[in-house]
Amino acid sequence: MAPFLSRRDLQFQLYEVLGTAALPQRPRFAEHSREVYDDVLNLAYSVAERYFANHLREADTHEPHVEGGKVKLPPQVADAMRAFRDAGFFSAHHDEELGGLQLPWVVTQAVQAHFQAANISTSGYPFLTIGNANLLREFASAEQQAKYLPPLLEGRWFGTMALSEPHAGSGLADITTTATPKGDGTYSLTGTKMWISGGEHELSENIIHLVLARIAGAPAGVKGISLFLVPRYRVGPDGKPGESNHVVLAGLNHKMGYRGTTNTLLNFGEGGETVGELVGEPGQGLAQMFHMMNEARIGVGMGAVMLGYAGYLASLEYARERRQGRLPGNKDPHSPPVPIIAHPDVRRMLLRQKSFVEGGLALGLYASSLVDDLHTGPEEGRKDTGLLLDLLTPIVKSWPSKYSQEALSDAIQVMGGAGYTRDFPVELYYRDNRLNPIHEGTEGIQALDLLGRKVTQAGGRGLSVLLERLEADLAASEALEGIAEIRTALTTAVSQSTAALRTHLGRAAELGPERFLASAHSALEMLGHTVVGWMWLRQAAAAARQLPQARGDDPDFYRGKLHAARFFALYELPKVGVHAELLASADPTALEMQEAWF
Amino acid sequence: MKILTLVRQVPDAEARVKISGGQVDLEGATLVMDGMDEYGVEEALRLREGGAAVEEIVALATGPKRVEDALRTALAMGVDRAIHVETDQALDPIALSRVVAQVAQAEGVSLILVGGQEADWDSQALGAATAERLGWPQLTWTNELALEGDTLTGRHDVDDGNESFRVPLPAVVTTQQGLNEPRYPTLPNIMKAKKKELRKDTLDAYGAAPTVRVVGSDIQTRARLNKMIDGKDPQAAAAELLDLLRNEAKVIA
Ligand SMILES: Cc1cc2nc3c(=O)[nH]c(=O)nc-3n(C[C@H](O)[C@H](O)[C@H](O)COP(=O)(O)OP(=O)(O)OC[C@H]3O[C@@H](n4cnc5c(N)ncnc54)[C@H](O)[C@@H]3O)c2cc1C
Repeated sequence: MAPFLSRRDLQFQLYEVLGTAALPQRPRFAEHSREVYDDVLNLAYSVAERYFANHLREADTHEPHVEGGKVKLPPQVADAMRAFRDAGFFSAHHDEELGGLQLPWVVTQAVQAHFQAANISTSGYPFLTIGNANLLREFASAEQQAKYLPPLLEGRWFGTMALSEPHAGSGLADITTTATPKGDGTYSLTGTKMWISGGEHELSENIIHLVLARIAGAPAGVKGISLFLVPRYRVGPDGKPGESNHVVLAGLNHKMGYRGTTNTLLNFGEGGETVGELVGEPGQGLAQMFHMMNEARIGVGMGAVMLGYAGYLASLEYARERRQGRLPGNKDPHSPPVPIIAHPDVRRMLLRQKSFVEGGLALGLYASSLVDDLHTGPEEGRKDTGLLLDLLTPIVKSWPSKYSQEALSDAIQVMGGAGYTRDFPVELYYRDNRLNPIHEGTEGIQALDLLGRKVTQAGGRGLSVLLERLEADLAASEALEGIAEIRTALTTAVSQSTAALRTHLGRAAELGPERFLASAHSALEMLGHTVVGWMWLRQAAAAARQLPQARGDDPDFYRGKLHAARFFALYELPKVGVHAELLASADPTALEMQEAWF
Repeated sequence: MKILTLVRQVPDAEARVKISGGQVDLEGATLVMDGMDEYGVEEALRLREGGAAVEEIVALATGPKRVEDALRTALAMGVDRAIHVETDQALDPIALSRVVAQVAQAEGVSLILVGGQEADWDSQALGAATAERLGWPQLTWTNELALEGDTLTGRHDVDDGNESFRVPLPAVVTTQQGLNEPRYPTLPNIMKAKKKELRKDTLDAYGAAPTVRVVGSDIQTRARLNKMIDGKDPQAAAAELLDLLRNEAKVIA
């Protein structure tokens, strides 16, 4: 079987592009070293290979079902959870006093990438739990933390994020789940939540749902939404799960991919009372959720990258072995057919995949490193870092979601009929990844967030920080060899993007909100490709610096990076110009199309 | 009692090794602790956890700087400290046994656990050579091990059954698959391992020099012949297949 992840590329990104080995100079990471990071990543690889990759197909074929009132999953999922828990991955990034290792977020993401690549649907359970615990750590009271955090960090209890309702997905302002004060500080919840991943299973002793709901009588809209902590089993004074809290499984959703992660319709307050605790202040629910969104959305983007990457590696291995056809000019029917990787069109498809997945990986890890800088970087730069991260988040979430799908389509194409069968995992990765442009805010919603909020946030400071850093990387790479194409194409893309944005923002008042935002998708495509072009410049520059003294397999590795950067420069970055033009003219074609004309 | 476990670093089972200049070139290959040695480390930990009076478990490795990584894995699994005899010189098992025996004596160990064979250089000689040097008994290819007082009992599977042996300590035990299921390190133990002693010795201190030199290596190459048999005439196709199996592949008489 093809490897599910390139350990060499992960090392390259972390140590040669991002300088992760220098993080132990920061006080929070003083106990660490590069060796510690390597050992942690090696452990992640071993556990992912043995306990996650082993049931990838099984979890897809035998999707969760209800048996005797309980959700049934393949037994390997529980083994995987045990291995993940025993190794200590649930708490790795938390403070030492909580039993964590204070791992940097960039290393944590690199660790998680192994599990996403090996088996995305099984990895859903721990990652939902980690996100849930992060939110509690940030906003729950000391008392709530003492009660709920330890079992979550030990991986004995799992968590969910329960936002969506049957009638309210993108439009969360319209949710109707209601919380009525009981008079003792707790609340009684009623309502229905849709699409809740990990909403029911027997993998953990308890499930902690983080639920968005309205306190009875709260104002309409976003300001009336609060966040509640709702356990599946009520927690007794001894801290142990006790009686049912009447969160009832109303049904399982049957999905295209991500099948191993149970996805549920949940009724609150059915057949008895559902008791919840308010987290933070009333009316702050959505704001608190969004506070954690940067990290959650980086996680989605990284999941997409890893699926695309695994598909790329599978199709690469196949292309080296499958023989078919002869090269043009060879008329000898007795000569053996060539491995398909010899055909330029197959190489083009492999190169396209490489440029998408390695560009996406660079972006996901770069954003993760910004999360670290935000908390532990030099004090004076943190505000800018935060704004840059806010700006990049919709791109980090949606670009890999979309372009890994394209990469996976190429992976199937490279493999021909074989790629279309269940004998190989690429069709599965393709189905799995199709979720990523939908959940955690659809691509359309990300585009609105980018153009409607992020580019103008703090007077456009985030965008200025992006340009400053990008231009600094351009300047620093001037003397390097073999990177002319990416430097030139990126320079053009940047000037096209900035000019188009300037024009569009300048016309905002004149265009009015509807037409202004109608170009959101062009803005997302334009900035997405520009930012990934920047990520390719950074990779190409690192490769060009290392190449002269490289040994062993490394010269090929670095030349591959330089070549993929050239591909992205010549075949992808020119697309920035098309989107820039549509944006600068605030093209109204979609807006003006009438429903009746379809 | 002190236990010495030997740790060797070998290419990962999936690694693609290359030959350059007649030698196996490990540059760029993923290197891991030898699986057989993992059984040894695990067994030492289990003896202690099972209540045996184990004062200390020491891991020993020889080899270039990178071998530290394998020792760190042993430390993270739970051994107490490690000794690295650092050298770029490849040692044959007889030369290596000289180092092992001296360390065992200097450390006052009474049990040495060593992989029955090494995944890369399959000499199977290290355990025997060490036992011989020390004049200690040896239990080979152990599938099960128990310690009672100063007496070790070990089972050794053979093709059609098994045999059990009893020896007094001190002794050398070689391991094999089935002895146990080695644990993975945990994240907290990876951090703790950082604080454990990893002593560096030079090879000179042991007066061990290799007497066998590898002068050439080749990797077996397998190529598909892609021979197609025309199936239009089934009789002729069967006859052709039979001929190929008999005379070319020589797999049937
Ligand atoms: C497998 C899976 C797992 C999920 N897990 C969870 C979970 O754990 N917790 C949770 O709370 N939710 C979860 N979700 C829900 C997910 O977040 C929603 O599906 C998503 O937010 C979209 O909502 P919707 O499905 O109602 O689609 P809709 O909101 O109906 O959107 C349909 C289409 O309309 C577009 N659209 C909607 N509004 C606008 C607008 N204002 N402007 C432009 N375009 C718009 C969207 O972009 C989309 O293309 C999950 C969903 C799936 C499929």
